[in-house]
Amino acid sequence: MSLTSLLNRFQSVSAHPTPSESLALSQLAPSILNLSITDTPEQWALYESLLLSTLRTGDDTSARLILQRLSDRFGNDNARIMALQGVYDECTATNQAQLEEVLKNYTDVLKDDPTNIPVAKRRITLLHHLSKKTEAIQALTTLVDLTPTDAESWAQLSQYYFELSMYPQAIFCLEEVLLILPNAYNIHARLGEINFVAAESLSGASKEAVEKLEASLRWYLRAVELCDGYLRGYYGVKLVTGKLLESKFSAAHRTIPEEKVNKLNNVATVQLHDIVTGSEKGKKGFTGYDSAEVAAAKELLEATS
Amino acid sequence: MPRSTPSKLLIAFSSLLLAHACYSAHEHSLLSTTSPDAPDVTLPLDITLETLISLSLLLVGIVSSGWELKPISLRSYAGGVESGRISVEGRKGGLFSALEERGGFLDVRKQRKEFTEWVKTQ
Repeated sequence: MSLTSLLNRFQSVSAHPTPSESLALSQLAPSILNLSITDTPEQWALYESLLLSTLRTGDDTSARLILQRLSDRFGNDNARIMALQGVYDECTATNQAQLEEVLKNYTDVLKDDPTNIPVAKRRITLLHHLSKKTEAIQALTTLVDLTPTDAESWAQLSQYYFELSMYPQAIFCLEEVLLILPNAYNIHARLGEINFVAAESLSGASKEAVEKLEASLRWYLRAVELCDGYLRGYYGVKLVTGKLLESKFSAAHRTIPEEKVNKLNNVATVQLHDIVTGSEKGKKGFTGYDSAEVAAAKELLEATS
Repeated sequence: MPRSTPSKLLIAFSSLLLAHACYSAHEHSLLSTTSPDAPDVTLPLDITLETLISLSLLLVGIVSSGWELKPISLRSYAGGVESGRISVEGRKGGLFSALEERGGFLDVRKQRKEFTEWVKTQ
C-alpha cells in the first residue's frame, strides 16, 4: 500500500476508534515501519497516527520505535514530540506513582516554558484522568487565558464543566468557540443538547425550564440552518418540540407560539423520515450518516408516531 | 460531463455561425485591400452583428449544457459532507468534527484500558 492510501485509512477513522478499528490500524505497524523514510509531511503524520494506534492496542515495542524515529527527526525539545513522549509515558506507566511522576515532568516542563501548548494540554488531560477535575479545570482556564483563540481548549473546558453539571459555564465556553468559528454547526447542536439537559435537570415545568427548552430549540434550528439535512440537528428539533408540546409545558411561559412549534415538529419528522428511509435503503447521497445515529432517529420516530 | 441535446445543437450552430463570421471578415479584408478607391473601409454591420450573436449563443450553449455546479453555500456543502453526497478524501465526520474529537486532549490511557477490556471479551 502506498503512503497516501495508508494515511487515508488512518484519517478515515475518528480520534475515538472502536477497539476493532484500533486493532486493524495497529496491525499496519510493521508494513509502515518497513517503508523507507522519505521525510515527507505525510510520512510523519502517518507515524504520529500510528503511534497513537499502537499505544491504544498496547504494542509498546512499535510505539517505542516510532517515537525514536520521530525524535531523531524533530529533536527531543520539539513541543509536539514532547507531548507524544508524554502520551507514551502515560500509557506505559504501570502504577499511580509512575503517573504522578509523568505529571511532575509536565509541570517541570511548563515551569521552564509556559507557552508549550501541547504539553499543557497533556498535563490537563492527565489531571482529569487522575480524577483531579477541579485542578484540570483550573489549569485549562489558565490555558484559555493564555490562548483565547484556541477553539479546541474552549470546547474541552465546556466538556469538563458539563461533566460537573455546571451548565451555564459549559454554555459560555461553547459560545466562545462560536465567536472563533461562527459556522461550527455541530457546536450549535451541542449547545442545543446542553440546554436540553439543563432543562431536564430542572424539576417540573417552571418558567426557567421552558426558557431553556426554547433556547435549545433555537440552537438546534440554527444548526440545521447552517447544515442541510443535519441528522443530529433535526433529531434535536424533533425531540425539543415534542417536549414543548407536552401538556405540562403548555402554560403561559412560552414565547414561541404553539402553532409554530407544531409546524417545526412536522418539518423535523419529515426530514428525519427521509434520512432514515434513504439511509436504510443505502440510497446515493445518504451513505454518510452514522448507522447508530440513524437507528436512534428511527427509534424516536417510532416512539412519537 | 453529460451535455443535453438542445445545448449541444446550440453549441454546434453558434460555432458554425462564428466560423462563418470569421471567414466573412477575412474575405472582406482581402476585398478591401484590392480596391484602392476605398482606403478606410470598416467592417460591415452584418458581420459585426453575426460575430456578437454567435458568441452570445455559444456562451449560452456552454453555460446551459447541464453540468453539475459545485455548492458555494456552506449550508449545502456541509450538508453534502454530512450526508455523504460529497466525499472528502480521507476524512470522517463533518467539517468541524475536530472540535468534538479534540486530538490535543486525547486520553489514550483510557482508550488503552477500554481496548484491553474488549480483548478479554473476545
